[in-house]
Amino acid sequence: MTSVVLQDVRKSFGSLDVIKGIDLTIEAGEFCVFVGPSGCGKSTLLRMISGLETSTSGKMFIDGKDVTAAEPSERGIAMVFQSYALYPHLTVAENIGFGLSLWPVACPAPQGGNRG
Amino acid sequence: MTRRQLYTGIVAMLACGVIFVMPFLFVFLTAAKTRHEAQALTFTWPSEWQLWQNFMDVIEARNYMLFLAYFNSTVITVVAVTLLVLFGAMVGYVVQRRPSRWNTLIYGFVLAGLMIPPAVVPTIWVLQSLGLFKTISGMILIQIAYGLSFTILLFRSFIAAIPRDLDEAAIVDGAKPLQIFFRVVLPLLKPVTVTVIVVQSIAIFNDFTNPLYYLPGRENVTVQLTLYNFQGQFQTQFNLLFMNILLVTIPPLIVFIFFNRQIVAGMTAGAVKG
Repeated sequence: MTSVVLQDVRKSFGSLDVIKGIDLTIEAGEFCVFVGPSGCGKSTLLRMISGLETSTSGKMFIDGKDVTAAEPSERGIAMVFQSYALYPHLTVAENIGFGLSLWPVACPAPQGGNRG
Repeated sequence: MTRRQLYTGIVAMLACGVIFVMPFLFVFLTAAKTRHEAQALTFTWPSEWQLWQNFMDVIEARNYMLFLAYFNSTVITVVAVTLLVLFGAMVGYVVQRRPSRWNTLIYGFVLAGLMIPPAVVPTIWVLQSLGLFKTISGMILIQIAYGLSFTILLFRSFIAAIPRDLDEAAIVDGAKPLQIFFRVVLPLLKPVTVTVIVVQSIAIFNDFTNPLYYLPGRENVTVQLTLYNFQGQFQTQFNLLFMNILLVTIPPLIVFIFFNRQIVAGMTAGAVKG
C-alpha cells in the first residue's frame, strides 16, 4: 500500500485554469472519491496523477517519491478508464497480461482464455 | 417480399448481368475461337473450340514473356501494397493522434497529392538522375507515391474511430509509441487494411499507363504491357489478345474473392462502453 501526496498542483489549458491549486494527501489504504459537476477537472486530476497529463506547476509524490515529471509507466500505478479501454483484439488473458508482456524480461506466456 | 420488390430485384440482376457478365462472356468466347472467326468480333458461339491451343500460344509468345510479366507485376504489387499499408497507417496514426501545426501542413500535402495530377516528364527526370528509371524498385516507389495520399486518408479517418483510451491504457501499461502502434492500433485497423489491400493491389496490378511510362524495356514488362505487345505483334489475332485479357483478369479476381470475405467490420465494437 502506498500514499499519494499532491502539493499545490495546478493545470491550465492556455488561459483556462482547470485545476487551481490542489493540496491533497491520500494515506495508504484510504478510499478516496472525487465528486463534482461535469468539466470541473475530476478526470484531468486523475490523468495528471496517472501521468497522462503534465501538471503546469506543483509537486506530486507517490509513496514518498517525487513523480512530478515521471512517465506513466514509471509511477507503478494502474488506471481503469471511464470506457474500460479493453483491447478488443486480445483475449481476456491477453488483456490482463498485456502490461507484463511489455516487460523487457521474458516471462511465461499467459495461458488459456477465449477471445471475447 | 412484395411482388414489386421481386420485380425490381430481377431487373437489377439483369442489368448487372448485362453490365458485368456479358463483356466477360464476350472475352471468353472470343478467346476460344479460331483466328479467322475471332476477326469478325461477333457475339457468337465458336464453331470450333480452340481454348487450349490459344492458351498455349499466348504463354509461349515472345519466349514465355507472360511468366516474366507475372513475376514483375507480382513483385511490384506485393512490395508496393505492403509498404503502402505500413506507411499509410503510420502517417495516418501520427496525423490523427498528435495535434501540432506541422500536421495541418502535412495533411495539406496529403490532400494536394490527391488533387494535383502527377506530371510524367519531370518524374522521369527525377528517376533518371536517381538511377531508378527502368527499374522495378523505381516503379514500386512510383506506385507508393501515387497511392499514399488515398491510403493515408482512409487510415486517418478509421483511426479517428478508435478510442484514444486504448492508447492511454497502453501508455499506463508502459508501452513505447512503436509498441502502441504495432500491438494495439495496427491489429484494430484490420478492416481498413483489408480494404486498402484489395483496392490498391487491384489498382496497381491493373495499372497500364504508369508501367508504360516509367518501365520501358523488354526485361521490365508487366502483365498489362503484354496486352500492348500482343496488340502490336498480332494485330489481327484477336483470339490471342482476348485469351491474354482473360489470363490477366484472373489474379485480381482471386484477390478480390479471397479478401472480400475477410472484411470484418466493427472490430472495435464493444471496446468502449458508455
